[in-house]
Amino acid sequence: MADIAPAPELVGGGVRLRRKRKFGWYPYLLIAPTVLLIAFVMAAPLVSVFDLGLQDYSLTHVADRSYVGLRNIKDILSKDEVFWTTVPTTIKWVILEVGLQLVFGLIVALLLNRKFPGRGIARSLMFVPWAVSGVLTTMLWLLIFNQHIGLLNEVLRALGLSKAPTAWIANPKTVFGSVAFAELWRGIPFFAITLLAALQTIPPEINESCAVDGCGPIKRLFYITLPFLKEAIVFSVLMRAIWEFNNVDLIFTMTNGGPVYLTTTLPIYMMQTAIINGNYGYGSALAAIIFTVLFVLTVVYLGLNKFGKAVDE
Amino acid sequence: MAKKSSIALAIILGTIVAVGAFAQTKATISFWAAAVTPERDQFFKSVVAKFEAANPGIHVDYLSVPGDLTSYRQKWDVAFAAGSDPDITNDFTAKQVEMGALEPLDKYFNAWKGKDSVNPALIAGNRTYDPKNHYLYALPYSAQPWVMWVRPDWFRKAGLKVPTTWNEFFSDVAKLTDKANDTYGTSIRGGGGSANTLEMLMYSYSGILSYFDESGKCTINNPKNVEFVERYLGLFDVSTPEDDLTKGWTQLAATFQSGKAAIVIHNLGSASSHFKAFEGDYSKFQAAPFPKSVKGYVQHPGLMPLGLTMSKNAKNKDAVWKFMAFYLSKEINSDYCKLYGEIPANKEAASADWINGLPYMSMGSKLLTSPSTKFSGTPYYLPGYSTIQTQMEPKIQQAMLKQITAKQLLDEWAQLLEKEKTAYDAKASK
Amino acid sequence: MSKPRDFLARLFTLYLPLTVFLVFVLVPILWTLLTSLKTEREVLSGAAHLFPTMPTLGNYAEVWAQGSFSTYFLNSIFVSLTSVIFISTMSVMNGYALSRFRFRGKQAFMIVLLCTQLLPAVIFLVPLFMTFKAFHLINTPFSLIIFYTAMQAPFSTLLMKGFISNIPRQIDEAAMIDGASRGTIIFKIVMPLAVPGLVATAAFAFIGCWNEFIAAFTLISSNKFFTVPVGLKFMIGEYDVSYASLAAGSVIALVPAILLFAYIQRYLVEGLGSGSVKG
Repeated sequence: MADIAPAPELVGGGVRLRRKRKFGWYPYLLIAPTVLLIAFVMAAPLVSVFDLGLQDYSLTHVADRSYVGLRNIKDILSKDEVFWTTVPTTIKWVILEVGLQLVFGLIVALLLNRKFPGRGIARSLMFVPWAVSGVLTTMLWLLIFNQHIGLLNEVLRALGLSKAPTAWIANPKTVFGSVAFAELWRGIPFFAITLLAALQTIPPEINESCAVDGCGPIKRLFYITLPFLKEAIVFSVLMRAIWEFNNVDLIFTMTNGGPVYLTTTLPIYMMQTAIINGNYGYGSALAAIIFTVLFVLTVVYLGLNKFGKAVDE
Repeated sequence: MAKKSSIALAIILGTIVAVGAFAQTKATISFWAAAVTPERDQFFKSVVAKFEAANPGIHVDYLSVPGDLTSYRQKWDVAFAAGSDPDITNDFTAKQVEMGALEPLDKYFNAWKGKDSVNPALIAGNRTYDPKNHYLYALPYSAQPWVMWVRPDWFRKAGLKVPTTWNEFFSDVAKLTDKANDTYGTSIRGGGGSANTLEMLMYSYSGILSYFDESGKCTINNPKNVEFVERYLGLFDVSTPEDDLTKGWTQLAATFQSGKAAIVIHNLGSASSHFKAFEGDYSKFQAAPFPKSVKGYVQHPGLMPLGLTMSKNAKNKDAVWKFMAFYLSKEINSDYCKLYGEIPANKEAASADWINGLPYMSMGSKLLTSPSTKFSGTPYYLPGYSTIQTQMEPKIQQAMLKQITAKQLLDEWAQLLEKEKTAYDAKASK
Repeated sequence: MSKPRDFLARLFTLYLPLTVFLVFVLVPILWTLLTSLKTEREVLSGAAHLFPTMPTLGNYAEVWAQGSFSTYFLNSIFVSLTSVIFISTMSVMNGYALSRFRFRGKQAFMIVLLCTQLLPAVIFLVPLFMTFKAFHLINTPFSLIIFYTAMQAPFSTLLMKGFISNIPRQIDEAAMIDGASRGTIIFKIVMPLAVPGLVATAAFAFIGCWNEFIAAFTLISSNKFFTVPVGLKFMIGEYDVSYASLAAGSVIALVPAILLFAYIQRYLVEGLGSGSVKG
């Protein structure tokens, strides 16, 4: 069953054929298992988030559970100061992390794409921060940043760069940067490996012919490499941004959102409200807000990028 | 004809006997142990093994849950919401009572032969979680006193004695601080759990016994409490490390155990952790009672209700009770308390020799039984009690950073507690 | 071009930055390794003792045997490998569909995929528990496999879409003219060309499953089904952290992931994904 028109060159040179794309059933067959699986796993949770968000349901006064419509949402948007502090914190967090991880990840990918002895080992080692368990990563960085017995202060002291040990995770001035640094360590390999794989799909002939034409590495980067990487970058940035937005484990374990809400992102606030404090109604309303915001942003982002349409799609 | 009917009868009887025997398969009960470490896991496994040996008809489905109590409660919440909560837990919370998740134990307890073996004060304490009927929802197995953990070697070196009054505390802490050498008089818990510690210490200072006066006003913002909070939080970054701001227990323990602070406040349960860290050297760590309040007596926080709970959904409730009673036997109770550093609820175990053999245990035991020790009327029974503490924690950090005053902090705290108390009283009177 | 200039150029544009990044990446890991060889007491005595005074493998032995780590390890391998097989297969199928076809609901499908990522997993746990319980899957490794596949498929799909899109369509067409069925095209022609992408995708999917904690912690109620991350949590107690044991356990957990990646990274080689088109 031919569901795409044959390529123009096969049907008489120079004639622009009207490309009629009939959608057959084949693509639906391909995506069916995934759709069914996701429906099975996600349907109940998504419905419950929105349903609970409309209720006044807190484990500290379970007997008063009842539907209150949009009251939770109204309270969040008009009365909740903590909510409004989490908004800039979250935006700052996502932009900083994704931006830096992308830039450094790209640099590393380009480096690891070159030929040099021990390349295989270098690549495997670069993967390590991503491969390490999150349970360890948070404890590890807590220990590194520890004011008294931590590695960072020890190194700074040995290098003579600091007189008094800094309280990295406690000092309001350094806490955000410290947590961001730990996450950066974990996130760079993500972009490095993804982009490295994408780099492999660039036909070597293109690079060669470009070199013959005399273009230097910078031109090559911008005119060949990046365009080929475009789709990979578009999607990995989207995924990473969503994941960083919803990243609770690292921040929660290192600082619990503190001190004084300085590292509280919106998902952390939601988790504290719903899970820790047992206020499921209010917490679910926060979750509904998170979902809606990310949903809108995702649709807009994908729309602007034409859903990552490839060159000849 | 007679032969045929007697064969039929034999078959029927045989079947009945066989079915009866088959039906006598094991009763299974499930037990989730909270915050388990590999060491504690061994303990629970051995208890389960001993119990099953003594009760061949019962099988215990034991699950050791790692992590902290927060993770345990999360897991329990999800399981309970789906109706799959375990038959037995060892984490008793007012919330569980409020949610109707627990089975009242009164009928089992009253019929129990060993009911007089359990410390009656602990039984009474557990009943406070039920405002209306005062049912017993958990069988207490220990008391967890809070203490001051100190470095006796540091005090000796400085020529000081372990403080017995709060004024001594404040002056000792200043004297023992040597910022240049990164050693401090004390370390404040500014992160998770900060509110709990601060609350008990302020009442220990002011000597106020009740959290609410006759008119229902909360005493937490009483001037003496405010004074304490100003003095105590004023120690931050002066006589305490700068990173106290976000310290939870694990970091606080690390500060104490790595020799950075002379005094930290925690319950007796961390004894085994200190024992390991200091390699059993009692000259390096010691448990001491809180200093005397301004009223002249030592006041400790009210003992938090705890115990083994029975789920309303349990299918073999008699078997569950058997396990609970077994857990409270002198031998098992002693083993547990030795491991966890808690004072046994079993009266015989509480007066055993091994208690006197361990300095921190005998100190804890004396503290609990001494007539001169007073206990705050901590309102654990308020379902929102710990949620309020969690809400206060960022505010305490603000107070430490001097962004708000101690009075502002305590005024807000008082408001929240009053609201909660009103709701509780309303429910109790219904 | 002169050789010394070449060398200097390579030094500054390759070796120096590479070293910087490797140091950045490895120092914490090295410290973990060293910590795993110390006793707990030493860890708390501060970083002043950078190297263990008497390195010991005791932590490893203790964690593996007493800590039941061998059980958790096997569970994790089973769950992760099974999930990755499903995830990879589905992502190739989906990626191909998204790359080669225009069909109604295509954008909607992508959005649905992404919807699974828009909330932290922790908020899904109660309804998820109830769903799995209704199907008698609770407290089995299969609940985890199903959940992980659903959660990892979206990202893997989008990755594969990108990689497959970079494979020229002419290859498909040539094969079709030769009479190959779609299935053959997808799995026997396109997929081998997409190996670098598949490698990266599988690696990420594996790590996602291998290190997942909250679902494994909540959906499993038997010690015998716990996975490695849950096993590591035993080292983080209510009152203290057994840093040395945690480090040892983490190194053990790290080994399969690194070995796997070390093996498959050789497929991240250029030219495999292109070049078979004769104009």
